[in-house]
Amino acid sequence: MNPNELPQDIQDAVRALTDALLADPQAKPYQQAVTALESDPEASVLEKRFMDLYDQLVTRQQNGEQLSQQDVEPFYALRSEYQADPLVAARNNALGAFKPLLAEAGEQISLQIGLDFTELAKPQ
Amino acid sequence: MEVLPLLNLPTTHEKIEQTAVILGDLLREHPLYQTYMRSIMDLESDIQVRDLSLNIQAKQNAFNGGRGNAELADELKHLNQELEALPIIQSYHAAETDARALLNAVNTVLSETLKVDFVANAKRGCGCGG
Repeated sequence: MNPNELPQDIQDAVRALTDALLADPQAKPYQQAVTALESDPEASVLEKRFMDLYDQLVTRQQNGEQLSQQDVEPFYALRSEYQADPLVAARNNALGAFKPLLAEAGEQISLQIGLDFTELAKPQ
Repeated sequence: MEVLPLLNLPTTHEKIEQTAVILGDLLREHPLYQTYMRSIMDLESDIQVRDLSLNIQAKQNAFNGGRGNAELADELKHLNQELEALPIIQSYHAAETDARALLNAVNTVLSETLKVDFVANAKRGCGCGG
């Protein structure tokens, strides 16, 4: 389903939830770290390269391809570079403090729907 | 002079809880989700599904318990095919696909706004990265 096809009341409820999450003081360091990363051209290009390569390899594996050492070595090299980037590291650290709020929200949704939202809502 | 009580405004944590409850309520009431929940209840009360599932489970246990052979593997394969061919199972899979699409669309909006994959990071004690 395209997110634009969601009923208006659900779109409004999602917006209210994201507003509440981002208004929490625990979200501020995360938001600042995201802004810092996004405003740095080198770090944001590095992140995009890393995500694109990761997606490519996952797609190939999902299509039944056996990845060779030659395939994965550039990924490991890029991952080391990515993880060593201070802006990426700062964003990931700040995300750690934000995650309990995401978990709290996810648990409340799961309680209401009677099943695990975080499992059912995963991309297939 | 009368001292006015402090306004009892919700904390940000309460606001998160309230808004998540509202979202969960709306999702539960959505027709696609209702159909999915009904399909689960239908499965749980269907005698044919129950009997086939128990038979599969018994044969699977025998297979895992060291009594596996080609004949048993073949029986298991046929029983699973028989189960999957039941209209009630096919309805269940269709309803599940629709419900997952609804919830995934919600996750997409949450993730885009928060700039992080919501469901991948909303598990307690999750050690996964950003």
